[in-house]
Amino acid sequence: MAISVMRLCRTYGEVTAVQDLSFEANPGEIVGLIGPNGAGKTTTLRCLSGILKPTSGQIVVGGCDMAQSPLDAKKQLAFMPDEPHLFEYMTVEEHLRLVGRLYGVHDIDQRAKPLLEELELVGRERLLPGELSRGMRQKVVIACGLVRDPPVLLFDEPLTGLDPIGIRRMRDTIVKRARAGAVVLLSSHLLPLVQEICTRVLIMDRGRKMADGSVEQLAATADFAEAGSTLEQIFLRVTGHDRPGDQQG
Amino acid sequence: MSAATLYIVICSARNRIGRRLARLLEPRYLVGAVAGVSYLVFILFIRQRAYGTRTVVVRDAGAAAASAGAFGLVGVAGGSVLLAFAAFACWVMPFTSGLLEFSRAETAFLFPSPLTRRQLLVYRLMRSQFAVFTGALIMALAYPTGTVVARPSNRAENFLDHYSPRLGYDTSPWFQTGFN
Repeated sequence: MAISVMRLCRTYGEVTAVQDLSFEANPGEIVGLIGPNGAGKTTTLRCLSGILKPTSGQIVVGGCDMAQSPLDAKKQLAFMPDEPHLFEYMTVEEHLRLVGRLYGVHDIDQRAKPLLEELELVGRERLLPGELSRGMRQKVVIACGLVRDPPVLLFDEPLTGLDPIGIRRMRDTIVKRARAGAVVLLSSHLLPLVQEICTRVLIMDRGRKMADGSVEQLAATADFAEAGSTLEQIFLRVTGHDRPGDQQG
Repeated sequence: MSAATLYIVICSARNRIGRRLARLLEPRYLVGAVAGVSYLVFILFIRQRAYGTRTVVVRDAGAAAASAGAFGLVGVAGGSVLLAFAAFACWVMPFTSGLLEFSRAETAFLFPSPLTRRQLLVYRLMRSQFAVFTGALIMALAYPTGTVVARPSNRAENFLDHYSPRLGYDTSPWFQTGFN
């Protein structure tokens, strides 16, 4: 089991962002984490990455408990956040080398070369974040996550700011990693893309897990069968937005 | 501080200086830099030379000057006591120190990485103290105090006066949290 989440809860003061969330993910799986704004997707990913401490519950990454041995757990994962926050005065290649130093990867330059080509960052290695577009900064963040080839990949809205070609390439990149044995947890609002590449979908709403399974499995369940067979139709039914009044505007 | 976090400090400083120097190729930045350097030269050399001359004149003025000097010494001592008290108070009640405030990039890169909380705190401390150190050094150099012979020691005193309270202020939460 690459990821195991048991009864995860996270609160911000009075607000409960994630409540009693449990799921597991295996190597090779691409799990789509979808839900309306404020559903708790980003909080879940930030807890999984070790940025946020869960209020309660247990997170195990690659057999390592995030609370008991956080360093071992963190070594096995890469978190690519939705906003590309980079160090203002560090170049693209320096960001990649920083990752090498943080995780003890010595051949980072050799690893970075094909990745920079894959993500179309060749020729921009010596630029600062301020000299890059938002989409390019997003690619740098993703490159920093992928460069050391970790077995667990956490993507929070990875396609935001990318052009159509970038989206296609990123989709291929994610699928390639999963086929190579990585477990991918992907949060996105692009439901057609999630339906296309994810082997499993986890729908969240108001901090709770509402549905979990492949699109086919969800479409076949009695509760959602009449909603339709696309992920969008299922999503609208699960979150209670498939009533006629919600479709206007 | 780990090698990785030191790498952030070195690369950021080098690139920042490089970019600032490169900007001097633009006339408006060049004019600004010339004005800034002129001001520093004025502060560091011309004003201090004038201070040195005035010191010699005052020394010859007798008892009145001695009394003024004694008053000045009391003032410095009192100020130092107040600063020491302020530093101690910051250790006891570290309410608003920015030490534990990480930038978004630091959060994105360092929090998910296999660094201990102690390493993160040491990094943040060193990062903040570098800026404080530089600021205190400039303040100490800019104050025109004493004769040429006395200046180095005066500057060291000034530097410690400026730097030590801030150091105490910034490190207090570090020890209060016990690195956790």
